Amino acid sequence: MNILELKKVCKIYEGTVSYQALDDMDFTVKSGEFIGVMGPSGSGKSTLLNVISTNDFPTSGQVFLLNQDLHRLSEDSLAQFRRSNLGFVFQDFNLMDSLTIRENILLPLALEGTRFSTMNQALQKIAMQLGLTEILERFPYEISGGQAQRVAIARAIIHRPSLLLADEPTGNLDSRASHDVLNVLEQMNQDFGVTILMVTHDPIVASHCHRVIFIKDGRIYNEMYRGANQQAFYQEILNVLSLLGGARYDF
Amino acid sequence: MTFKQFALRNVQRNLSSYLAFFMASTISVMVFFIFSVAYFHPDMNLSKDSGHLTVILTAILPYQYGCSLVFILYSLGTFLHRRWGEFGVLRLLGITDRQFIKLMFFENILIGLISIISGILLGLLFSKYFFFVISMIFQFPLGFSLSAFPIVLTFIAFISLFMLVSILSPFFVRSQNIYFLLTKSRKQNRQPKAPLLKAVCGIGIILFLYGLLLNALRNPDGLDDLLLAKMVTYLEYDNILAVFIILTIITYLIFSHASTLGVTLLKRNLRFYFHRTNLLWISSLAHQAKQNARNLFISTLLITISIAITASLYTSYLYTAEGIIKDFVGPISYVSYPQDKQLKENINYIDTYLKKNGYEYKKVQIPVLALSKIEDHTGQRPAIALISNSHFNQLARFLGRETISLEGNNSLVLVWKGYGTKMDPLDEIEYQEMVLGGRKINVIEVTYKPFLNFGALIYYVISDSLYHQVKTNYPTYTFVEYQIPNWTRLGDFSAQITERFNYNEGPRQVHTAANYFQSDLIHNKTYFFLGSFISMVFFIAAISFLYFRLFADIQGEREKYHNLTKIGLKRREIKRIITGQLAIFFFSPFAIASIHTYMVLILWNHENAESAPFDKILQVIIIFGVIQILYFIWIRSKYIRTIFHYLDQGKS
Repeated sequence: MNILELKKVCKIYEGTVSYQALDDMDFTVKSGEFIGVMGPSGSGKSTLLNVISTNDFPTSGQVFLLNQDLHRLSEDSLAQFRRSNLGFVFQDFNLMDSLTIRENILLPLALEGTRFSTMNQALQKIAMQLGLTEILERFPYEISGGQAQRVAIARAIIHRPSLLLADEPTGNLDSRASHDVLNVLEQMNQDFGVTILMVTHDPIVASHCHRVIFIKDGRIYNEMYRGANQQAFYQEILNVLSLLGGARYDF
Repeated sequence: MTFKQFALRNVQRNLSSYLAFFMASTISVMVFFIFSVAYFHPDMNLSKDSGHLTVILTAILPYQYGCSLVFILYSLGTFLHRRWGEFGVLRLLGITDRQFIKLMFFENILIGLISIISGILLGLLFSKYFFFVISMIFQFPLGFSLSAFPIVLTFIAFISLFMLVSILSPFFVRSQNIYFLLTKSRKQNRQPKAPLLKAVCGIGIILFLYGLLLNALRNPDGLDDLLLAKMVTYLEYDNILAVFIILTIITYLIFSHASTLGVTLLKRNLRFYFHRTNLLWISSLAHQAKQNARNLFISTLLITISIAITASLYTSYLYTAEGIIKDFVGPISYVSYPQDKQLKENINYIDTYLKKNGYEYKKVQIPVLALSKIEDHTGQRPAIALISNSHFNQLARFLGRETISLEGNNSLVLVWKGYGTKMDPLDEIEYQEMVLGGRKINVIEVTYKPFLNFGALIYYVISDSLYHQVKTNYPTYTFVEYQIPNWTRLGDFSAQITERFNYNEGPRQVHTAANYFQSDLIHNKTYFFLGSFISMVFFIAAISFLYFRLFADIQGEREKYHNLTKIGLKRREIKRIITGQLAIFFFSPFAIASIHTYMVLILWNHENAESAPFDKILQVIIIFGVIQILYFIWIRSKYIRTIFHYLDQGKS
């Protein structure tokens, strides 16, 4: 089943110098996939994510999420759709400073008006899986970056969204914390069938995905499926990147 | 680009963020200018009554200047706070302290000049209305007249004020290091830990203090016994100051302690807390509780002061007549000395006039025995006199009060404290030791209600038998008291009889309330007008503090809402959260201030509670409330627009 389908999506930023960020983008995401999106700076990764996440509108073309044409919805029903069907993980966590970890995680359910007992059950379960039980009463500034990103993941999936969008989720983390977060994402993908679309710079991070899409100048440049071996996949990614140019990746 | 151009462009391009600061300055300049135009007005000293206004203005002008300084400094402080990030960048690029001061100086002088000019222009516009009202009050035409003095005075006063401010302003920023300036908005707000014990103690103290005040409200005379008030103030007679200090403490505790308890209780109610957007606004209130407490406290105090002043001046204007008559028993009192041969003739004259002109009136005539000369109650010892029981009852019935029946040596003591003094004449004599005709007087009661004023300070009411026994030993004075419902129109007649009866030298005293009515009315009107004018300015300052507080934080807030929309917060919900938060922020000081105003006024006027009626105070509160609501609506839409504008920028 297709979770996400992009059809001939174009995005042009008008201005004194207009700029085409997305050019005839076509691709689909199937349920249960773990997809990486890579590309040099300015290739259109962020625009792509913004268009999928309904935070931005395509200039032409259509985006179907769960077979629904997103950009025909009104502002408020879009917000409603977003919060019941999408989960977000950001590079800078975007946790609310005024809320405790517990409150941060429960926020999407609270906004939905979920019953309190249901909320608590969901929280117990997810906190256990992500190892957050100990820090539930703390505030975001009292925990480490890796913990903060795990909290963000917990918040993103507590309401069981159809698609989890991750924008450089390891960009602000050291390698150990990155590894930690990636393990959590993989676990969520394998054990609970969460569909994940992740934008990243990092070939190691990308090598955890099932499929990696390379973008250049707003077009899909290449697409690769992972075999059994992660190490080999990493090598292949590096090869493509060196062909892509435009940026250096040192690891 | 030179340095001056840089400063100029800063102002030009930051115009919207300078706007609040600019408006605050302009209003200060405008009020100062209007007052100084009135002060320098050539016609102001023509009338005796308006000369009084010049005196008030002399006091007000420097006071208003001081308030403007504080107000402008505060506005600038919060305004600079918003620009910390910008200053961080400048410091990073290596701006020196000297250059920074120079930059601040240019910017402030520029803003200062613009607001002085626009303040004076606005002042010119509004002073016409100001003079219109003033001339209505004094009932003589006061043309608009403008000399160079007020303009020069305002200009010099405020340009030096802005110079002072710009010298002080770098201190708001200079002491901070670059990292702090750049990152402040992210790291600063820590959740205050709210120890429950502290909050409960605070509530306990609040309830205790309210209890004291409520007790005093029910029994206003008991206010003198407000032990705590005395301990706090050491001022035995200044009850109003004591009340004000108590209310200040209460206000502080409400915002610093009770509010955290309130939020904690809301948070404890998990089902409510985790229901939809409640989570967001409650946590945000809790989060900012500490910073907000100070602002809300100051605003509440200012709002209380402005409403209380306006309401009390309003009621004292409305009840000018009652205020005067409080010092008089009746509108006309005639005190006849033993050697006064014209008593009958004079009383007749008054009666004839009143009848001829259709005034309804009642009068009572009672004899009084003077133990010491009534003529000079400025003597060493207070003048003392005697009244018989039946004469007293006659007087009591005339005044509609309870009569009394005295036997043997029993006595009731009436005390008149004299005009506006706080001295108690009873303190100066040993009134329990009074001996009359060889019999020791037994004082059964002392009352301070006015029965006979303008005579002795102390009257002993004694039984008729005792009175007759001692009657011949003392000279007899005669008191005639009038009650005339329409007395306020007797102004001319009062002046006439005062003159005719030769008040100063003759063997008699005539006291007429109407003599004072016109001038008191004009004074009260003036006070009311100027007082409410200043109060409005205070009030606007108070709510502007709230405004500055809100917009100082708006960068953080819009970032927050930006992030929340990403995870699917609806516009409708953002509006609801903001409305709720702003409503609490704006109306809690107002609600508390209204309640406190009422308490202050009741206690203030406890000697004549009828002159602080609930409905009149309510009228004033409603007028201020309407201003507050309009301000709220404006701020709310501006705030929401600012947030939404930012959210829309992310899209195209």
